[in-house]
Amino acid sequence: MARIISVHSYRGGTGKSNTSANLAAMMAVRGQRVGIVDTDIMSPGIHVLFGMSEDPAGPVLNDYLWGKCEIKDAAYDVTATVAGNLPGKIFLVPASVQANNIARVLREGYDVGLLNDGFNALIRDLKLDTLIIDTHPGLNEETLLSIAISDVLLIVLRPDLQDYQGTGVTAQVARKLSVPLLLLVVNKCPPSLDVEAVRKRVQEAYNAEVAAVFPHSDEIMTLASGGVFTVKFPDLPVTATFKHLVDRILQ
Amino acid sequence: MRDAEIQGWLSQHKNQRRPQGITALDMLELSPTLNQIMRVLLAHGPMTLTQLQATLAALPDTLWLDDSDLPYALKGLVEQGWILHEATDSVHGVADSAKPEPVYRVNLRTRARSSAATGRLEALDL
Repeated sequence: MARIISVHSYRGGTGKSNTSANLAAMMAVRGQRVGIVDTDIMSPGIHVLFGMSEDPAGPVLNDYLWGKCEIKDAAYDVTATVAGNLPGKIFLVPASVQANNIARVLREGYDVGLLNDGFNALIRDLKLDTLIIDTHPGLNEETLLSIAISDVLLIVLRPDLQDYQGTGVTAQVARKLSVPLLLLVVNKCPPSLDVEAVRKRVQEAYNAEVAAVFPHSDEIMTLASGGVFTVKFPDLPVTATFKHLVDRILQ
Repeated sequence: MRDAEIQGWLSQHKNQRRPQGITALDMLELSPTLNQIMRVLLAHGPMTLTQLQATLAALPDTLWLDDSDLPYALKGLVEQGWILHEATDSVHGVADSAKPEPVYRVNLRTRARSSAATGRLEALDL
């Protein structure tokens, strides 16, 4: 039975897509077949981390939602863009970054049920071990649906008061929806803060497990979404923390 | 028996039928046991009663140790319009025998268009 992981943040810019991409890469390193769906249809971006152009030659998630193709046709094998010899597979379903397509979603909406059917079909057709849903920040109907169907909800936050408040709301919603495993990931922690103190404070504030605290990393910032950092920088401490995060999820 | 819990929830929501389907927001109102049914159906797609019973029983955190109440809960959810009970030719892509068992499917409502001002979007002529 495939595991569904939603990666969410209450606010944008927390590193949600980077977390999703690196999760997928680390799982593929362990031989898993992983799918990622970019449901951040209003502001998609995860495709950049896998070196995809903003205008792929084939269909994207929007085309599936508008009934133009099957979802598997919008899934691209991006394994080789991460590393040449991964034992597993990574498939990405990108969303359109064309302004007219984003406007169409805003104007017409789409069938949320179809999106959910698409998740099921993707797991089945691509024989996935794990499906990662890179969600839209904040809470909307699609995000709630993604959270509702997840086995694991990963909430990414920065050590910032606005993030703290919003995360509280999301954690509350996740509990109400009985998500089996809620994990918090604190990202971009300034070097001046004590990582363990941050972990303890966040854990106590939400009564939820903090699975990882990632310090701010110059290497990641310099990479500027030009790749998946756990593969580019396998010896960084931040990569080791990521391995622990994956261990926890797969536990 | 979860009879009382299910009956309580159904009577509380008897005036909230959703013929056009439910939204994920509606799921926030569900009791944990009913929520678990919805989560399984959403995550795994349409299922027969037998498949649903087996899937619920296999969950590590199952709230359905005794599934004798399951048909009653499903009937209530169907009456609410939250799930559909329908005949199908195949389940999970596998063709069934001559008389397939009907499946349960979550009746999700089509997303309403954005509340962002449509007029303004049209003016942009994207």
